[in-house]
Amino acid sequence: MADRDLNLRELLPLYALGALEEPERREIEAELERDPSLEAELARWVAQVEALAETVPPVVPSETVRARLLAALPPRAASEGARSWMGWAAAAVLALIAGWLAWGNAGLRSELETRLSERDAEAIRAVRLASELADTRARLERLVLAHEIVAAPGARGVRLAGLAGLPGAAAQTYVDPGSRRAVFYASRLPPAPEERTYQLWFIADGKPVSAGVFEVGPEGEATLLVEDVAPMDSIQAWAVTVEPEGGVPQPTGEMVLKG
Amino acid sequence: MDAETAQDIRLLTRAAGGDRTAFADLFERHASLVLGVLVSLVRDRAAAEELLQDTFLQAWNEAERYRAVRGTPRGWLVMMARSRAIDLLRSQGARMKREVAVGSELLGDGTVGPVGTGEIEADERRRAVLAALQGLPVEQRQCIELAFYAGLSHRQVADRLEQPLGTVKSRILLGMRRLKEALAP
Repeated sequence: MADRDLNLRELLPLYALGALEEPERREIEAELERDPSLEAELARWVAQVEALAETVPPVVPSETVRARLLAALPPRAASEGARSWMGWAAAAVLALIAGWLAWGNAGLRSELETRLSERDAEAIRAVRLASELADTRARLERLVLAHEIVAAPGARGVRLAGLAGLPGAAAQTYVDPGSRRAVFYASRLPPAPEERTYQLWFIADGKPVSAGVFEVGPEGEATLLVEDVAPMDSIQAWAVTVEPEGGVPQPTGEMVLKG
Repeated sequence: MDAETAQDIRLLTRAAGGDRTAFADLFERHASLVLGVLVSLVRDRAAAEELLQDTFLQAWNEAERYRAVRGTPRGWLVMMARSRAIDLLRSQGARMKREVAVGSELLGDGTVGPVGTGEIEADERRRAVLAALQGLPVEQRQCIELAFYAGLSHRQVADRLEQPLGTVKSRILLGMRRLKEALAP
């Protein structure tokens, strides 16, 4: 396994250059999904390919290409949903207003109806945008922070392997000793059982300390940012257990990942 | 992380949420670089523009799946574009045409150089990368240049240079390592 691992790592620069053929290319892609520690290493080779790309003369695309591309972008399912929800809500508000106005002065009805519906549609739109903005900001902050931790000088990675319960799962933590923050990436995790959650721990000076609970995404992936981790030298191990929803102060459930 | 990468991640994140203006900004920032890479590989402006459109369409569709740990958004775009161009070259037999074109540009020492380097304004970064390439042992540089500029697989490089496959693999690996060291900040 160690030999195979070494070979795969040595193939990463060839993969980044596009110099691999099948089946090696597919094997690397599968391994990248399985072992998050390879991803950070790949990033270093991608940076070299990016540097080589800068030696090629840039070519400005025609305005037609840009326009054709922007016109061809399919709508996002989520924003379509939001739009139809907004349309429905606005229609409901309008119906209420129209009903109420039926009792009022016919001469003012039209103008008032327009103003009120505009105001309500704007209010609904503002609420939706604020919520989208908050989600986007939170996601962006997580991405930037994760990148800073992985790229920090002296950052150290620890690989966690799936135990008997989840042999296919894998994970990696990176600790930035300067800021004492860590980022945890996992892949190939099944959803936690009903009313249960995954909880990450680090073992410092022989004692487990909770690093937080996390959700698993639709493709079995998970990310968790951890603040205030113990000094790197005092951490002996990282582990993931399955615990009651909300997490527990000390591990009680089955350990599924360890490293 | 540098400010440009942070801005790219910001734009990509907004694009993942459905923001077309942010995506158009991302296109403005990187389309010329990506199209340059594509034109240098497929040697056909119309085919390269098709690939450019496909690459950015893929970026829009997969923006949600972008992971900063695998590289910068710019590197991600370059990788996607190269992968598409290389697939095209390998699947459509465009290789023959390409080989002829590349063959006519062989440098004195038998390597393939970046296209028209002299015609473009060489900025500091480009000069540094070219100097790092020039600093590699010639056999390592040949292998990297054939893989990068001509889109050849390691097997095709081995055939071209009449060298064993294992030799070509290790030359690429050693060359890329040296390049990384030379370009380290």
